[in-house]
Amino acid sequence: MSTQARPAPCAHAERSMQSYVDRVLSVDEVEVVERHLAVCPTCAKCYRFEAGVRNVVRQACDEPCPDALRAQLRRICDDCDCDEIS
Amino acid sequence: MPCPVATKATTRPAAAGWYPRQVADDGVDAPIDPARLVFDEQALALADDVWRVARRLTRDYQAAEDLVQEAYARAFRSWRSYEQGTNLRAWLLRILHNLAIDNARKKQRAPEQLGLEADDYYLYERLGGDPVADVDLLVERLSPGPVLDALGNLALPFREVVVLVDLGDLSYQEAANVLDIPVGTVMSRLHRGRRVLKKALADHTAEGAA
Repeated sequence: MSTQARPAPCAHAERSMQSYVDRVLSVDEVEVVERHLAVCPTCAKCYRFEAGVRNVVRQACDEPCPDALRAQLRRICDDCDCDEIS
Repeated sequence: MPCPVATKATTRPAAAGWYPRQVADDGVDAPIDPARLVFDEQALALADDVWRVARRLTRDYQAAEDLVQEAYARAFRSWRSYEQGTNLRAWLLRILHNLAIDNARKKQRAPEQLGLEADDYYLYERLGGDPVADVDLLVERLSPGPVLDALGNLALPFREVVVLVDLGDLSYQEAANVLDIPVGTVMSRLHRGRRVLKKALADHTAEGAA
């Protein structure tokens, strides 16, 4: 289903979804979106799903810096005696 | 280019306010700048964040290790150009990004193309999302392997924006500063990149279920 095929409030909600989840909408814009989500279970679920997908991406990439590299960075730090005048 | 402004001890001072003195090559005692010690610890504490971003900007583990080492070496050399109080993570990621770009130029990679994108609700619908669906169960169907593959296959200009904002926790403006592109470009690349990602995940996950 394309954006154009949705009812106007749903199409608007879809266009606003990424900005909403990223928390960059104005207070007024947030209010418009949330009014719609309160009455539209489909869009509300899509929004929750989007937030879930973001979490999955973060978790998939949640890999700590390897200990050997961390130790190497410390050595690089200790060995660096100079200041680069920029 | 050695510049004997300060010398550094190989051991860190135990308490703030105290720092070791060393005899420099020219025989003159030169104290280490305490601000440098503060910077070092702040920068090293961000190693996990820098590593996560480097892993997704490069194609393999070794390249990511090299990139992070190179970035930290440059950061320690040019630490004076970092302004305390500003976002150090963004500052480090800018160095990382610039080095990654230099490396990519050396390899003379062809300009990368964006894959097919679908609309924002596409993945949800492909997974069978409807008004009675359990959203948490749909999210659980997405596994880490395909997510990493989809991210890895995303064209670099789009991947780096997604990585900086979603993994590096940068604001749109900070990502724009790191990449030296307008905020509007960050937003459009971010949104399109995420759509391509979701399209790839939809294709993979729905195929797996079929």
